Amino acid sequence: MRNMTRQNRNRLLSVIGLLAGLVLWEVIGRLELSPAFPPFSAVLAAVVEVWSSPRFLEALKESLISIAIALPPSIVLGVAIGLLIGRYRRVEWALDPLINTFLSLPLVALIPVLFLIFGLGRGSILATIVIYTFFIVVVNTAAGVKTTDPEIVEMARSFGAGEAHVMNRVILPSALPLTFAGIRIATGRAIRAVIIAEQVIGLIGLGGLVQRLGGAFAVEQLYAVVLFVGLFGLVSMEAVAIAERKALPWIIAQEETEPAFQGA
Amino acid sequence: MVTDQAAGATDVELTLAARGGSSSRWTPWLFRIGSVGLVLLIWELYGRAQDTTLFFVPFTSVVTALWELVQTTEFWDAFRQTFIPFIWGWLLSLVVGIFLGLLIGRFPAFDALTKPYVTFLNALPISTLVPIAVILFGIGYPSRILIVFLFGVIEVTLNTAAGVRYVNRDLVEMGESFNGTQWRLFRKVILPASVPGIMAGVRIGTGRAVVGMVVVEILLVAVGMGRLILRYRGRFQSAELYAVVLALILFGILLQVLARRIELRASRWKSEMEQVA
Amino acid sequence: MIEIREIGRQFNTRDGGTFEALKDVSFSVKDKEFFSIIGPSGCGKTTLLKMVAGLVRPTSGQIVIDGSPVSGPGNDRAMVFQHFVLLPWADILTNVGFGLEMRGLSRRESREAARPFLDRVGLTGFAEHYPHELSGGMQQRVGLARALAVSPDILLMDEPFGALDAQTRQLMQEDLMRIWDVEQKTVIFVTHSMDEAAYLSDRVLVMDTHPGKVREVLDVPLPRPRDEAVRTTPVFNELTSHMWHELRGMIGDPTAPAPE
Repeated sequence: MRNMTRQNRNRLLSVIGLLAGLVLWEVIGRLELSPAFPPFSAVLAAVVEVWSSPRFLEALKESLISIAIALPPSIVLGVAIGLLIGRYRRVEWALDPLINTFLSLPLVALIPVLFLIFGLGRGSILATIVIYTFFIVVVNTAAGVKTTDPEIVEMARSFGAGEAHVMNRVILPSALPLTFAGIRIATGRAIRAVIIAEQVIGLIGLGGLVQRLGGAFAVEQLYAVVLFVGLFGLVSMEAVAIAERKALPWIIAQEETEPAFQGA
Repeated sequence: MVTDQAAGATDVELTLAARGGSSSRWTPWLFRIGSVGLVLLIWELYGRAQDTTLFFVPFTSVVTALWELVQTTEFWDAFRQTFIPFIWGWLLSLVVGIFLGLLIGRFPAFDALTKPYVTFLNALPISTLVPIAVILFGIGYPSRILIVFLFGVIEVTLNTAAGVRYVNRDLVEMGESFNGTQWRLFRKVILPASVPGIMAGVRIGTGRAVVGMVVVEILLVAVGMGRLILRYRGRFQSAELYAVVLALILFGILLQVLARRIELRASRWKSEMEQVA
Repeated sequence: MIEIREIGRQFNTRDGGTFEALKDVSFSVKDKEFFSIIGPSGCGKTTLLKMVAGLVRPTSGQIVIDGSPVSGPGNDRAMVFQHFVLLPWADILTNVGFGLEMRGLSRRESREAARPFLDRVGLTGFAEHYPHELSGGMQQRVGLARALAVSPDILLMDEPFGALDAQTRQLMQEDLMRIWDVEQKTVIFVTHSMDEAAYLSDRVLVMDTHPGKVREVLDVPLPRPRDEAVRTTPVFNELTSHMWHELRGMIGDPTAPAPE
């Protein structure tokens, strides 16, 4: 009970913080300090107008299509490679340097090269999503495999389990929490990737819309799109977290599993 | 959600791995060097097999172009123009992020108050704020600094806060039992115990700040490295374009390696403790 | 004199009920007395000790030390923890001086003042070592020296030897006896070892569980100073078998560990 009241108090504080921020935003906007800060009420009006406009919906559709095409195969391939790396030393030795390199480099710098190779269109956007998501899924899956308790593997072996059985019944379940954490991170990164790639192209998708609204100084509409993108990111990652809890009922008591790697 | 334990996970001895055949001390290196070499070889051969080097440039051409590029003053001028706003934005993100993170980690009420903003900014692709920064400050140093700062600050804040929040309860209780002031408890127990989390934030935040730096170069009207990219694209000098990208990447990796080193050094007591446990 | 007056502690459970961890616990500890609390795990003996330390508040009742009620940690008390709880980033001397630092001395002053206490627990040569370089027994000596260094009137020890192996444990008991003979402090010592309680204490409080309450307080009529030979005397054996008999009744509860 005491915990719950503390939780409620914190929720209340969050709401207060949010309201106070919005009031402050409104005041700053009314003071007309800078065209970059329109009053919140104007942004809210723009939200109503923009979120239902055909231009916005078209852009949203474009962005979603890119994610839908690129993210699932990237995850599937990432999990497969991650399992191999976690399980087989030689695969790990071979792929480790490459994957570590890709995790520590600023991937966004590759975008000009991707555009050169794939052209100023969907191909480049898809490629950006893949490089943003694939490696993070790989390392988290591999790290998940390594969290398997060796004693449980020995126990399974002592009862006569073969390699396939060990993989299925011991290693995969052990790897799942971190794998899901990797997928959760990858989902957020996929949104980042699609937005930045579209911003660079400047024509299609939500990223393109952001650039065009910014170029036209349509600040209220710009904020409306930015708000949408942020909330969309939140909801998507929360959706993965919910799927995670459904799929992994045995870690329901725990908090969300911390990813082993987040990348730069 | 935020802490990153890369070292811990990569150093795990692979007792689980199904071995195969005997392996000497050098076998891992054989595999590592072999696979990297193979990738570079494929890059090179695929590049040479192209009809044109407009789109895909062989590895050796990129290296040659980079070598020539770094001998020009123009390259270093461009680098300086990219680097100066980066340094300011990066330092600012560390200072502000550590400060906010300490407050959030230490005071649950402050955490709750700021939670809506931190959560939103953590989920938002920061690149969408670039047009707003431009409307606010134009395209000069201030908006470049602001963008780099915004990219870095959230990760530093979140990791610092996690570092403070997850300080061992027993340590805090032990400190309380000696009846000192709250400030002494913070300075002598909580702050030193949070150093690993703070340094993880510094490393990840540094990586994000570099991303911000590159985003500035490719989204804003280009002055530094971004202008070189634009120019080489315009003149169809693809090898040079690849070289500029390679230079940015090498810079990013260099900073990551440095940050990792500092982090390990500052958190040494933690790894030593874990080895014993 | 430490008076524990009708202490109770309740928790609200998830399903909306209440769980009573401690109920109507009353006893008193005399000055310079070595007082042990023994009981199965879950009886709330550590919680009780932390209440005396001022780290945990009772939901009912009061603890009064020399006439003034406990409202938080105080300079008259120092605690020794079951899992040592040393600062891993600080060397041994700084760890021993930690309590003094918390009370406002500078790092240098507290290190200087800590030195004699390091000698007293037999770790003279280890001032510049780090906790992870020391064995469990040595780490707990540091924990003891840290508590002694703030010159408390009351030493609160929470299963201090519970994390050590049997031989180390016995050595630590003897050393603690020797130090206590010289220091003459009031000690409240929580343990689940009957042998340890009988060997060290003037009196032993046996606690009942679910909810935690006082079962009985036993006098230990063994002469001081004590040495190993005490463990083979009939009085000692009678005492430990009496405790065993008392605690045994609680073992029907599967959550209670077998007493040693």
